[in-house]
Amino acid sequence: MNALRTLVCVLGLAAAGFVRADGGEFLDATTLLDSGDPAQKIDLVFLGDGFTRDQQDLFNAKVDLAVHEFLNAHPLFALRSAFNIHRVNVASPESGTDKFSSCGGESTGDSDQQRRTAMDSGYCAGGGGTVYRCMLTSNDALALDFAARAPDDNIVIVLVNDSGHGGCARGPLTFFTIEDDFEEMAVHEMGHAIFGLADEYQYDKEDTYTGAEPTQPNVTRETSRDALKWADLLLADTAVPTQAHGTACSVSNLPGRAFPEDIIGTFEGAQYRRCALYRPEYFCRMRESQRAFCSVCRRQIIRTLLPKLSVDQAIRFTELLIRDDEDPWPRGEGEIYMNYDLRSRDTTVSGRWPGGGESSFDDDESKTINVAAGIVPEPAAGASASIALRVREDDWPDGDDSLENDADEPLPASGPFTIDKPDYRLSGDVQPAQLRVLFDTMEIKDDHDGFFRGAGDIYVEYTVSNGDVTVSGRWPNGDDTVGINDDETEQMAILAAAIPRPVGDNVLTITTKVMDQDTFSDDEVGSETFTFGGDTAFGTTQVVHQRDRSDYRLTLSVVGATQIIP
Amino acid sequence: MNTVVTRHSALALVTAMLACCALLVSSGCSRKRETQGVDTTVEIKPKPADTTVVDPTVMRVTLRVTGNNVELISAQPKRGDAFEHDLAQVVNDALAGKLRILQYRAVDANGVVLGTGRFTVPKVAEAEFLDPNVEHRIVRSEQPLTTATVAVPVQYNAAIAALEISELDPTSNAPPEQWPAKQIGRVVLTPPTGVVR
Repeated sequence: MNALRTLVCVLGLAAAGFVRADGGEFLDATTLLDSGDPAQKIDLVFLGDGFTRDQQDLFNAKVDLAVHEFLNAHPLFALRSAFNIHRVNVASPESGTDKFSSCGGESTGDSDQQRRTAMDSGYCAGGGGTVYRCMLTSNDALALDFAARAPDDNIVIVLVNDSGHGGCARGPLTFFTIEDDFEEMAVHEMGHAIFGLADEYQYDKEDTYTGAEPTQPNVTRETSRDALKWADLLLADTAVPTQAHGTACSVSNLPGRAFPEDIIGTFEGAQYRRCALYRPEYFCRMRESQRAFCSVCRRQIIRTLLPKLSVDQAIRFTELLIRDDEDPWPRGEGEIYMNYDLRSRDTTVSGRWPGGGESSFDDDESKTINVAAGIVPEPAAGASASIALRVREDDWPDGDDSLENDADEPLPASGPFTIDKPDYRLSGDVQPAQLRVLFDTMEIKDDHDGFFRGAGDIYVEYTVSNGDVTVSGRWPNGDDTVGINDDETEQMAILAAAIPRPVGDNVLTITTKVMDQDTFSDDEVGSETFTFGGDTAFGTTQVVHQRDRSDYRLTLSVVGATQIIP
Repeated sequence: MNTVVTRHSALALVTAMLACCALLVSSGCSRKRETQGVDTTVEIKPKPADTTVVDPTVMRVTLRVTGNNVELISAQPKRGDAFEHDLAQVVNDALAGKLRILQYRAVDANGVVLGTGRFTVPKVAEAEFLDPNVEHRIVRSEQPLTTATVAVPVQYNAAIAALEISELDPTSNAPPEQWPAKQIGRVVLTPPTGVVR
């Protein structure tokens, strides 16, 4: 039997439905995100252990949760074309995982429990370890063998069907229980496995680091500003060290945050040490798994993924002409809005313009709109992206009116397009998404809200232009605002625009207007124009940019580059 | 623009505003805002994985490493790539005894070297899990490993007959590129017979 198994494994020809001696049964492999050739992408594979054939829906739901958390983490949502994501469904004979009443000679508080599962997972490193919460397997070849059923498997994540605290990583293979919020830890672990990031938390005991400079990009022992790995990201007036424990290293409760959340500096306490190791910001996902990645980690993520990115297609709406608003009474201005679906590969981006409310049009009136409608993956060879469009006139009380006619048309690979129908004409273009502008954080120092001191109702209007292509947008979407107290940082976490690189003498300009919404007249907190020459090393040396003004501080990232796979 | 508002005048203004709002609502009107930009959502449709291998780019070689014993578990041509951190990034972990840095030489049936590469083998597993009762919510500890199985993406060449496996010695004072290598095993890929020391 062993000889036969070896032969089958070596040839890599195990048939579908093959039941292993260990009892695991391969069911199927599903691609959840297909961004292209596995030879050019990072392939993530999710496996499940201790899920019976009848529990596959539970496994699928947990995978969806983890994938959603991963793909929506800032800045990964703007860089998803670097990844393929696969799910391999495997049925275990029994539900659950192995538990032990003792591990490494210590009582665990659990009762002994043996489960026959596909990958033989268990606490205490599968049974033979010394760390009880190390959820692992005694035979990691089982997991790798199932992972090989996916097209490629650079990173393998095994979800174990148990709700206790447990997780363990060894290289690119990681096991997790499906405890509450496990998906947060999954993203944290991928911070190690994919991006080489260090943990930024410290143990709760006095402990001073005396070793060499860590190789990871997000921790340092340096106290010299010029020698810092992230020196270029510091504001001129930020002290180094920024927040140090000093003689407080040995006290039981270290002092709390003394600087705004978005200040980049050196904060003592990192990589399991209380003292003499520093992290770049007070908070980070590598310190607390429910937080956002800090600026230095975002930069590392972007730099790692640049060579893997595809040239996605950025679709822009430039002009809308309304010939007949289909509003018979009263004649005059129609309150127009559009719903649309942009489709490419297996991705659908659904949107609405305007983001909030409607836009008033007289019959035969045309407006320049210049909005980034969305980004879709580059189509597979021989295929094209498409757009479905529904233009409506807001009406009350008898329901909204449809403008003639709804559209469903292919989009060009690049260049302008026009959707011309009896009642309207929408113009736009498709551009290569070479530069991606991400808004990271907004610190409000003074919201200019003189009435009711406290949270300002903040929104930001912006335009991004490369000299030839201009897009406009708003944060947050729709007509919402974000309540930000004075001296408080908010995660913006949006992809503001994706446009081609500037050519010739053109430059990239990003214009922002920070506003506080007021009942009668909104207040301007401040305006800013960022300018980047065409020779800027976008995405390599220059990624994160911070502008500090008297009333607010904006952090943004510009991703893009020649390294993008053509 | 900051405005100084006394408590009295604030109350009066609130009352006036509420009255205005009530009037607007009762008359079926509200302030309309047309906002810039769009509001979007993204949906990705799953599909069966395409596992057909056309023009393989790697031989996915699964090896079990225990001390100086290297055992072949499987070898499978794939369309994939090697995704590894730079040697410089793992030097400290190697020096700290957390992982081993191994290198392979892919040779054909005549012993001609077709390609080389490096890979890491963990010596510890890192346990990290959530515990809401502790500061930062993350608890971590290290679990020593005596054996580890790794999938090594070897650049594809149909003529590869065997991999000669060496371990780099991280205790040397030389830079990592010059660390001495000590051969620890040889695995034959064809015919598929598994372990060869």
